[in-house]
Amino acid sequence: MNLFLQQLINGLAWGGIYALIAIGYTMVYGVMQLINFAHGDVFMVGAFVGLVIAQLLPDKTSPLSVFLVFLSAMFFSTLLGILIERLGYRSLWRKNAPRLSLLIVAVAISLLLENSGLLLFGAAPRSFPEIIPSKSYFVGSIIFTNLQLIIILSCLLLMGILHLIVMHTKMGRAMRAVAEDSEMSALLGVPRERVLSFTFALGSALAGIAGVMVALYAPQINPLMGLLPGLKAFIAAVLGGIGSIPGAMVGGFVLGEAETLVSAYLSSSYRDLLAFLVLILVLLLRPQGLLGKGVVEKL
Amino acid sequence: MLRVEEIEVFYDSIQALRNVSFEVKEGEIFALLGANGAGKTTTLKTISGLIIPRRGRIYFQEEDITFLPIQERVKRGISQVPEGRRVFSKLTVEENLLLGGYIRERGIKKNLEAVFSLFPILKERLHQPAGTLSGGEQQMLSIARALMTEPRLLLLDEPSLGLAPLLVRDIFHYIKEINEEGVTILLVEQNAHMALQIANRAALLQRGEVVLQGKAEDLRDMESIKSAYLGG
Ligand SMILES: Nc1ncnc2c1ncn2[C@@H]1O[C@H](COP(=O)(O)OP(=O)(O)O)[C@@H](O)[C@H]1O
Ligand SMILES: [Mg+2]
Repeated sequence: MNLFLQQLINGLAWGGIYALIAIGYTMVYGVMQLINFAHGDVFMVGAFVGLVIAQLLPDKTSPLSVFLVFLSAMFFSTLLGILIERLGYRSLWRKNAPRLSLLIVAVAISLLLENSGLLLFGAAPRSFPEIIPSKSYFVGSIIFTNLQLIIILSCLLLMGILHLIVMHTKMGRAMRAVAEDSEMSALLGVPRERVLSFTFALGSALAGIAGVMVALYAPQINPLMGLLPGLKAFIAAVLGGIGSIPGAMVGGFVLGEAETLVSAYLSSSYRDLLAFLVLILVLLLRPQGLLGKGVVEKL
Repeated sequence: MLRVEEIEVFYDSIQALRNVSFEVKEGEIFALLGANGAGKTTTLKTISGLIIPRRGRIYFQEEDITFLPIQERVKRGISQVPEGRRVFSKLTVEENLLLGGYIRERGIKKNLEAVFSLFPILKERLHQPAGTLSGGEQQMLSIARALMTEPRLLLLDEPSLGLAPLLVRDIFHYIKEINEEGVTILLVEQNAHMALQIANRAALLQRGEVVLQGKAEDLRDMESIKSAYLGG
């Protein structure tokens, strides 16, 4: 029982991270029906920006430094997300290009970012400075670290902020309108391109923060680190119901927990396989996902 | 107020509109009639900017708007209520209305009040998801949402479609009322009988061409209208 509880706590941190990345996939899919496969690489860029800034700062472990590392990762990944939409997708979207064209561009951007990363930083993993010195806490026989706690709480906080933005701001309302009926929102004069830009910014900000979280948790980073978490977060979004923000949150946590339990009770070598098994099962049994409604077209 | 000049619209290689011309005068109700597939919706979409014509020009208050982005047309006062109401079903009634007011910085409160006095039922449903409204209420919401953009010209695409006869009467009554407030109306209808009762002037589309145009009262008794109304 204690082992089980212990694993649940370990899984929460990964779940929160998957959820943060999955939100970006699902929001972009919502407003432009695109699987933005470059999203995992935005997450990677967030981690590297965090690394560069952390190395520049003299007093790495001060709260201000930690704040600056997260803030700059968030800032640059937001910028990158806006650029990707503006330079990569916008003109195709305007022309109403087939989705396959957009998907090909997504893969191209992803390769571009990964190879730029390899060129700049090399393939060898880099260790991430310990800007949050590790502490462990015991509750009975269950152990958890300050980092886990920070990750889980920050994820919940960020999701709360996201909820406020999406449900209670003018731009959030426009996002939901575009997601439900893009043409109709255009007929009301809603500036759809600004909505797309905002959606990419929001998703990328969360991915950048998740990048630093993983960097701290791992604590190693490399230019291809976005691949697997990116795919898994995408699967989490599909599991929750692509297009649904609460779905992405639930999907992220479910996948994080499931992975941790599988590696604890079966074998850690099954861990990465699980996500793909989940994807196949969801597509076969419930293609609209856990919280998705209506029919989902083939991707 | 609105002048459509010799527009031609194609879907890929299929021509949907041929040399369509007509003029809507300020303050009137202009009815665009025709059977299913005649090109009525295509005409409205070309005016609102969803479609750019291959040839021809569209003028709104003497300005050439043929290539203007949709949003700019909305700002100038053109608002389309599309076929099938298209309310944002997951959003509340209030959120739907606020989206109608998206481009207006000021006067949203005042516009909401005006819309509620026309459709009091919407005030009662304010916090309900629009998808839970009845068909008639959704049509009212769709019109109210368009009014929130402060239109000078309202494009209505078959507002009576799928409504019970009693509700159809209500909707036409509302259209008349909106027109009396000073909004010019371009009304697309298959229900020629009802449309010609409230319209000042009308045009008849057949297979993408305007085949008749004139005063509503003159068109009312013509055989060709009767046959078009029956789907011919
Ligand atoms: N998106 C489209 N793609 C191809 N053809 C279309 C499309 N929309 C309408 N059409 C065709 O254009 C013609 C006019 O359609 P429409 O304007 O919708 O007519 P109406 O509104 O009078 O029923 C029809 O023959 C219809 O089949
Ligand atoms: Mg039509």
